Amino acid sequence: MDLHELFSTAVADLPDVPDQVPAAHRIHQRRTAMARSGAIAAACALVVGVGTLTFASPWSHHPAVKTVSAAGTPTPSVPRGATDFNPDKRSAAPALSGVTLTGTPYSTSYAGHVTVIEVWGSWCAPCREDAPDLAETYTRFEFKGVDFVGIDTRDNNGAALAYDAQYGIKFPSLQDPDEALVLDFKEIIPATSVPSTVIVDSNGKVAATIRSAVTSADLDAEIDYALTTASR
Amino acid sequence: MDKEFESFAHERQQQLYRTAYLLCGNPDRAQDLVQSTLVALLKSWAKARDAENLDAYAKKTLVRTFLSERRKLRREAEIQALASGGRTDRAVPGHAAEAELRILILEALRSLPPRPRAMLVLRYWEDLSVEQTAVILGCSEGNVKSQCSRSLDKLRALLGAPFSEFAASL
Repeated sequence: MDLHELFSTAVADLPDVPDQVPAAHRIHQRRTAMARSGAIAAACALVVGVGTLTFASPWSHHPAVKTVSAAGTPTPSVPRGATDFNPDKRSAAPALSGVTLTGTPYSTSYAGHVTVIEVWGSWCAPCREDAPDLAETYTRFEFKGVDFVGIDTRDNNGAALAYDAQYGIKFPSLQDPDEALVLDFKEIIPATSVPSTVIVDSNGKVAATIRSAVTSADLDAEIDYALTTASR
Repeated sequence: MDKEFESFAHERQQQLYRTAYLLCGNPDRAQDLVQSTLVALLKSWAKARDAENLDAYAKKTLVRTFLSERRKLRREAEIQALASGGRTDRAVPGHAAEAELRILILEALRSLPPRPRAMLVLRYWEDLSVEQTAVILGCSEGNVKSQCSRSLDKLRALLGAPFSEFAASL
């Protein structure tokens, strides 16, 4: 067990933090508005100082005040954490080859079909939340010729096999105890980003990445994107 | 700008949260730290998005927020309650040994002063290089090396068996 794994153990059962983005936006907008109205107040004080009497709150219709009341939270239009690559801007996916959890040699052949590569570990709490959706998505896309393969990183085989059995995950995963495989993908996804998903199009190029836990709907959207847009 | 920030923040907040948790050892404070970090990133987003490595910039912001908040809080009785207080009851049955190990790790981490602790978290959890760690903490590479080596000795003493295996793998 290395120190990274020890740290992973320490955060393994930590539930995901609730989305902090809306709150961050609100706080930021409030502070920006306060800074602006502070400046306006100072400017007004100066104006009053030179003799123009503007006692009615002069900045009540100022945009800065509107910012406060309009402190809203824009909703993202793409699935959380997903990146789509235009067909003409895709880079080749590294070849993936190794040994599955059950000990069978495995190599990817990307040509002619879409491949979904899932980076996971049985120690990773968000992966567990993901797992039922992933298992279900696989059963639907398997028939459409989409290949799924996992990279079980920084894990031990026993725990990983138990995990697959528990969640009914039927696609193969490659052993990656020392991160060698995820590091092959470091240009595409950071090795510390678990779970993450790489979707490779039928020409072996990366069509999309998802660097967070996925729902079936997100995954469906991204796989459909790869199925419907082929690179040259 | 909102969209870029949005997608970056959504993508990154869970990872930041885990790092924050290792830094401060408390889930609620970790959440606050993530929030403060995102607010700070928003404030300097124009600068941040041009940063060569947005990820490193976010980590730097998180660690500096953590260290500056530590400075403000003179005594934190609250984090004394750390591992024992919050999370143990969540442990899945059959994962008792893992839960115990987790508490052990968090306590060992907490026994380190904030800066050396941040160094270890950056080096071995975020897998940053000595150089990157030095940049984030604004110190020399030699300082990172010597400090980390001292901290590792300390963890080795505190953690015993699980750590010896790690040490052997070095």
